[in-house]
Amino acid sequence: MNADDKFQELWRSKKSVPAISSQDLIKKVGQVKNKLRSKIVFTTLVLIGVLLYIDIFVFQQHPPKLVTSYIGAVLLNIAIIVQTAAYAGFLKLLFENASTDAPIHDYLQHMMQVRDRRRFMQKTILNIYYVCLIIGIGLIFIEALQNVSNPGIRIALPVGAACYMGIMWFTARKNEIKKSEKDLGAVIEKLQAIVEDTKHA
Amino acid sequence: MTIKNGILTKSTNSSSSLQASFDQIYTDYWDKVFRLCMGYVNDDDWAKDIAQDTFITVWQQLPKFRQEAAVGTWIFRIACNNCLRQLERSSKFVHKEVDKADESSSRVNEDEINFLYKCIATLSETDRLIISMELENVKQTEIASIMGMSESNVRVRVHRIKEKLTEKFKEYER
Repeated sequence: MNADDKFQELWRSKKSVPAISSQDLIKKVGQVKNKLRSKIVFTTLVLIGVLLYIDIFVFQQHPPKLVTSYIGAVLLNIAIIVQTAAYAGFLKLLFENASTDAPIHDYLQHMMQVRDRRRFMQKTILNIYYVCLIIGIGLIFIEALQNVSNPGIRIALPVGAACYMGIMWFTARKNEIKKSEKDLGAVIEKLQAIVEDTKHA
Repeated sequence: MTIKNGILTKSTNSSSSLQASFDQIYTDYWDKVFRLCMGYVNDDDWAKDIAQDTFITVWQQLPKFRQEAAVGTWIFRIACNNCLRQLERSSKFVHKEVDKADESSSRVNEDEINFLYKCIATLSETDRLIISMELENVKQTEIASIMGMSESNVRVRVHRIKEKLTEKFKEYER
């Protein structure tokens, strides 16, 4: 037996039994989809609930006197809606479109496009989210602080809020972008190396 | 949908015919996809996971399959891309040292099989995929199209890889 035949025979001797049947695999895919859908529906409902609570209950029970509070509430609504829309559907769609059956160099191009689109979306959406959230809370604070009589609290509260928002803007926002790019970036780097390797005989 | 000689023919897109086609693909290609993944990661459990992920994608994409390629080539493309996406466990298994098998062992053939897979695991990522498909009897034109290389490039690589493997087997048998 020559070496080629021997390698082929040895290679083909490796057998494996699938962990689950094809029917169970189809069921599993359906279950995962349903689970994901339930999670998205639940998160969306919770966020809508929070919005309704702020808009109907709080503002109906304690109607604000200043226009700034209304503007702040609108900005908070925008922040929550943008966040929900982005995470519930938009980014998920970007991933589902990845052309998993393309040749390697096309797959790399596609992954890079996904990364660029995702980077743009995430930066834009996260910026809108954080800007709306920070300005919204700040505007609502103006009226809230007028009702506080203790001068210490009147200073500590906005300073504390400003620090919290500063941390969110400079750390949380950046970390979130970095984290979401990390794995995709590593895969792209690896694919680039492989595409480079395929150019040489 | 029906499969004849590795070609998927669309008849109806009903869910029962899709399921029947998928059942057939799953039965026909499980071992082939598993071996391709084994060649890449050299770990049974991990290879099974990647193979399973590959069939999940196959199931999801089956209604959109355009028949521009034979079903086997299409599945190998998905499997290759799935292998290339693997990151977390990569450093743990690939490029590990090739052990010399215990000569007194009665499981000579099994040792040889494991030795072959270990040798393949020491190759570069591109070479691992190329030789896995070559040993799976995928045509070199199809390997070239999957890998985005010229056919002559694939031929040269296959030749070199086989030389390396032969060399290692000679050392192993000594």
